[in-house]
Amino acid sequence: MNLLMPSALWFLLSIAAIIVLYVVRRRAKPVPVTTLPFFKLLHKHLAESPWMRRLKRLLSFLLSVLIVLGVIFALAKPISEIGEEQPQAVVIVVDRSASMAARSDSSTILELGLQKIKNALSAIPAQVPVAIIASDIQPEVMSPMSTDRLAVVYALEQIKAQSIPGNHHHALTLAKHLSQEYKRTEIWLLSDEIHEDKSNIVPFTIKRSAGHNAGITACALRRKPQERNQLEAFVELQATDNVSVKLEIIEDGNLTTLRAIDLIAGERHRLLLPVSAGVGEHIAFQIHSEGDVLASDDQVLLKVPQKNTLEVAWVSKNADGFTGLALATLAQDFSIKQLTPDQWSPKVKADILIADQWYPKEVPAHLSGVLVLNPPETISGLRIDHIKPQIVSPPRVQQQAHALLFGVNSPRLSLAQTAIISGDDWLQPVWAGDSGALMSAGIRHNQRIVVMGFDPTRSPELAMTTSYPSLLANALYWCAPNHAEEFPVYSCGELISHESDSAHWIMADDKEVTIEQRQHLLLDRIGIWQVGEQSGSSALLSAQETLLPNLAVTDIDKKTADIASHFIDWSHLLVLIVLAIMVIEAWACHRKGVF
Amino acid sequence: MTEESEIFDAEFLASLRRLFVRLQQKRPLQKHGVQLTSSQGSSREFKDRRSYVSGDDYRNIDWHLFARFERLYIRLFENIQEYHVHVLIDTSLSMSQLYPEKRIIALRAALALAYLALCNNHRVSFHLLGEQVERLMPPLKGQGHIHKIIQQLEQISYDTVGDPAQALRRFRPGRDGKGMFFLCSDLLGDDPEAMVDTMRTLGSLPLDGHVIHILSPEEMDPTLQGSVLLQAVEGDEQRRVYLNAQEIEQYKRLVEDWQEQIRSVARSRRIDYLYWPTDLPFDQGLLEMLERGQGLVGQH
Repeated sequence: MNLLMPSALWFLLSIAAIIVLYVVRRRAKPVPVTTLPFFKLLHKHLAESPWMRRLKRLLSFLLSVLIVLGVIFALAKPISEIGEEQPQAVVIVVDRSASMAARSDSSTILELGLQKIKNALSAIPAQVPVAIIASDIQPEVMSPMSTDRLAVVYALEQIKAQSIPGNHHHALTLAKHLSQEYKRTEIWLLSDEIHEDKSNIVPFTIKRSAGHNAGITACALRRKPQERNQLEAFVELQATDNVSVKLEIIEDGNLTTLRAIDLIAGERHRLLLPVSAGVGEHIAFQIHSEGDVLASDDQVLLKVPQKNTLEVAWVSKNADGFTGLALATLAQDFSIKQLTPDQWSPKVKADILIADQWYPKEVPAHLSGVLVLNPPETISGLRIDHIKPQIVSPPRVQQQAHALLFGVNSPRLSLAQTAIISGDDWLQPVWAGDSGALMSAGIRHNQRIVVMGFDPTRSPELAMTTSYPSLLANALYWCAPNHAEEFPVYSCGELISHESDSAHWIMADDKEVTIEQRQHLLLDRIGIWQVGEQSGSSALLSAQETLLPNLAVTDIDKKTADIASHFIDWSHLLVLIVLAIMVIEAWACHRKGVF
Repeated sequence: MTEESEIFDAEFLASLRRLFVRLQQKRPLQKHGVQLTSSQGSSREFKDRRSYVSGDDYRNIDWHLFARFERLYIRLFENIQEYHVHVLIDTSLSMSQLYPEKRIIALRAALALAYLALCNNHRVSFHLLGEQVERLMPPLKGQGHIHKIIQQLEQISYDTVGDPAQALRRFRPGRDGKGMFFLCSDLLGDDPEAMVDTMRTLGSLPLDGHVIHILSPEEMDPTLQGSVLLQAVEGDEQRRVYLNAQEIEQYKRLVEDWQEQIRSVARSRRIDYLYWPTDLPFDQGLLEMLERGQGLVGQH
């Protein structure tokens, strides 16, 4: 037998008051009458002997004590376990990622879920300790294992949805760690996603009642490869349903672009839009859609960065003229230093290495990436099979969305494949010919590597097209993702290390906030931040959050009923017993109006 | 009647005197006391003569007239009626406790009756109804005894726990001719039904009966409410009851029914019944009693 509300037992002290009242009950002052026989006639059927009256009074006292005891124990909610063994502890993991802020009717699904959790919590005994973990990209223990229900409920009420993508992995690992001390622990996961690990995890999934969501899942500013003075904005949109959205681009407070876009459910819609804002000006990207349930992914605020010239070392045995011509068109954005292999040294200052018909024995760690043209036979970790030049017309695109192919008109190209590129899993083919991959890209040891196994000089349709300089520019930009511009775009939830004392935020609505934050800045809002000399943009940019899951929803009420069904709740029975005792007491002791 | 006392104060006695003067002028009331009637009696007071007829008492033959006229005449004598007024006073605790005005009314009514009776040359006896019937003093006749009666009435102690119904059953008026009794009581005892039965037995007494039923309005319509521990003024009996307006109404009906039963039995037994609430002015009560009493007196 357990008590859900043991604190109600404090009311047992009130029994003392009843006993005192019984013992020191003031005797009524007799009222003399001359007509007592008539009063006796009036209550002729009530005539009782004194001992019967005393017995009734005692009985009334005992029944009154029983009634009070019954009420107190009913308030304490006594329960007893039945059926299978019940958990000794419960860890509640609450997903507070951005998608939990999606509105369902008048509330967010997080608020709905927290209410359900509270209901379920009230069904388990007070002796069972409960811990609360809030989870976004990182877990946070809101309440350690505690039997203090008020503290637990308070911790639940403190959880608010963050504009941060979700990741339950760490939270569940932490929850399992917390539950190690107990034999049987249940982990309640309140989320809009279903976790695959079902072991002792009780899902509390909430589904939004209606509406859809459309959001910006990627956004960046870049300079046009051939027109580096011109900016273009790359915007990727996704939606949960087929909806029409309006995309606004507001440059320095002025609406400059308005597009109506029809989105297809679950598919990416990418746009390249020209922008004309000057350096340091803000550009806000905002989408509007009727019935949109999640606001945090509807806007991105960027700042036009300073131009940053990347240092490129082009090391080639025999410099290819077409490649040189193509690279020359990128001279405004890249400082290209042409070297021979003999001149190459790991100490050469460069951000990116173009290894043409050559490959260094050891790639310096400071390089962001390596673009390999006409690769030699031996490259560590790669297998390069040289073949007799084969015309591939057009190359088969293996990854349509890969950044290398942005602005590249693949179907119109005709290439002369000179090598078949293969390697470990980290290297993914981008273009392939009949014999195999002719262009691959991947990330190894935090360095990006692009390998192109074709000869531009022999390719019928490549060298003189605009696609080749675009391809090279894409490859160089891809190889140096964090160096391309001075103003990076971060996803919410990332931590920025810094040495400043405060962080300055500019929000999308032009509000400015300065907060004290030392050492690490958590990007938990959407806007432009600056700490010390570092600055950047923070936006949700998460397809996982934007594409709100459409789940087969757990019936939480049923689950709560299941939890409750593990126990017999004696409080209702006690209430009935109390009522019965009250009726008996009234009938036995007071029905005749004689005490 | 000059000495002041608690009950029979000067004002009361003066009002009683004024009342008696008013009553003297009422002819019917003058029939009280020693009266010559048209009927023949057996007293020694000569009234007339008539011729002897067979069956007359030969002892009344006037031999002197027979000697002169040689005819038989018999002598007729006055028939003198003398009433014996029995005044029965309830001395139970219920008459003095709680509502002492009942005792005052009973004693004043008793004194007034005695005063009237003595003024009309009736004999007066006082009987106290306690556990038993007790004669207060020997029968008195003549106005000179009124002072003595006052003294005796004032010395009555109301400390008996008795049932007037039981005591009344033991009342025997004696064999001293016609008379009447006045019962001054609240008629409250252990059993209300017993008083009704007793009233039937009173009807068999050779006396003109008058019942003065003295009750307090509070006894008729109590103001009690809620949970009350009732204590009988006579005895130690207690009863805790819960009284609401409905039950008070039932109580009132019960008392009224009982009173009506007594009134009905009294009427059937030719006993005059007078309900005298304690809030009724004494003069008005006494006049009403005497007005109703004259009917009975008029029969004689």
